[in-house]
Amino acid sequence: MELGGTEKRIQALFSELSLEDRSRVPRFEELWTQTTTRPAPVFRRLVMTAAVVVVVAATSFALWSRQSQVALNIAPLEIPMPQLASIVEQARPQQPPRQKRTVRQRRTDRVLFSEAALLSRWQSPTQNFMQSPSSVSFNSLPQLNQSEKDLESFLPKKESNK
Amino acid sequence: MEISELKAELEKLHPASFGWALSCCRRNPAEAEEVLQTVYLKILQGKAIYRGESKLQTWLFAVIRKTAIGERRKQWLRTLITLPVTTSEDLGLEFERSEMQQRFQQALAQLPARQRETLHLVFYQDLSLSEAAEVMNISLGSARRHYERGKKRLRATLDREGVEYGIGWNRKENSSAVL
Repeated sequence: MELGGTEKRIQALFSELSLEDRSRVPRFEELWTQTTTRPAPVFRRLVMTAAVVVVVAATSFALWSRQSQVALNIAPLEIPMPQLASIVEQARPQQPPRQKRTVRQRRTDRVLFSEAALLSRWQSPTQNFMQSPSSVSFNSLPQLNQSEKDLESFLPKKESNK
Repeated sequence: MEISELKAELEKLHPASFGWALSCCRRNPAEAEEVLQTVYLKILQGKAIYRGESKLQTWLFAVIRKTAIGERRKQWLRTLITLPVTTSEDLGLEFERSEMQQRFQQALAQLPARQRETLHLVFYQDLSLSEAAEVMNISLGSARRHYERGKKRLRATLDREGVEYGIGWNRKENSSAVL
């Protein structure tokens, strides 16, 4: 490139600047070896720390909001609506009655009936202590329309010696 | 290119690379060294690969420029946390520098980045305008425009400051006196 007067002067100033710079050039070998054993820059570490903090904060916030939602989850109020139920019942197409129950259902029914029978026959182990010779008189009360003879049977018997 | 071969080439270009890094880092030697180290690390790690599509110097300078821009962004973020401190080393250097050179550097600093970079690549690194355009990733036309405008603006600033080198700007030039 052909240089004019201005260019030459600028170049002279740049040449002086270049000389000044050459006096402070760091040694290449030093820089090259430092490169291989260079620790992670502070800025990168800062960015990584910030990223970790943000992730942890986001996770904890998500967990917290989920828990608070569970705590506020009140069971909805049940309003009895018989009319609606009957309407729904009417609107439902009538299905043919099932003819056959499954074997499994029958078995469970049978088990339930037998358990109910056993429960009805259950007696307390102290039931015998409640029985006494006069239990008949306690258990049965005289009725108003009973005859005199019958009523006498409820009275204590008189001794014949008197 | 083998890494040993590349290392030898990088060593040859090292002073010029440092000068370019200084220009990209607003004449901050510590920052320039950091940038250069990052560039070498990128090359070693294979993040910056030379494919032989251009001159090695052009490719290397483009990597340095890109890295310096990235570092400047990080620097800006750092200044939000801590205030920048002028070291005693910088102050010492300021005193050592000639007054004329100081004015020249101040005038350079006043130029827009693209104009300053173009002038540096052409006058300091002896690159052609097309090579400078390649380093800066702009068209040749844009590089020429930045070059012309930068030159004009630098001259005007130096005239205002009264900086002369050998002979006055407005006098009839004698190129042999300069080079």
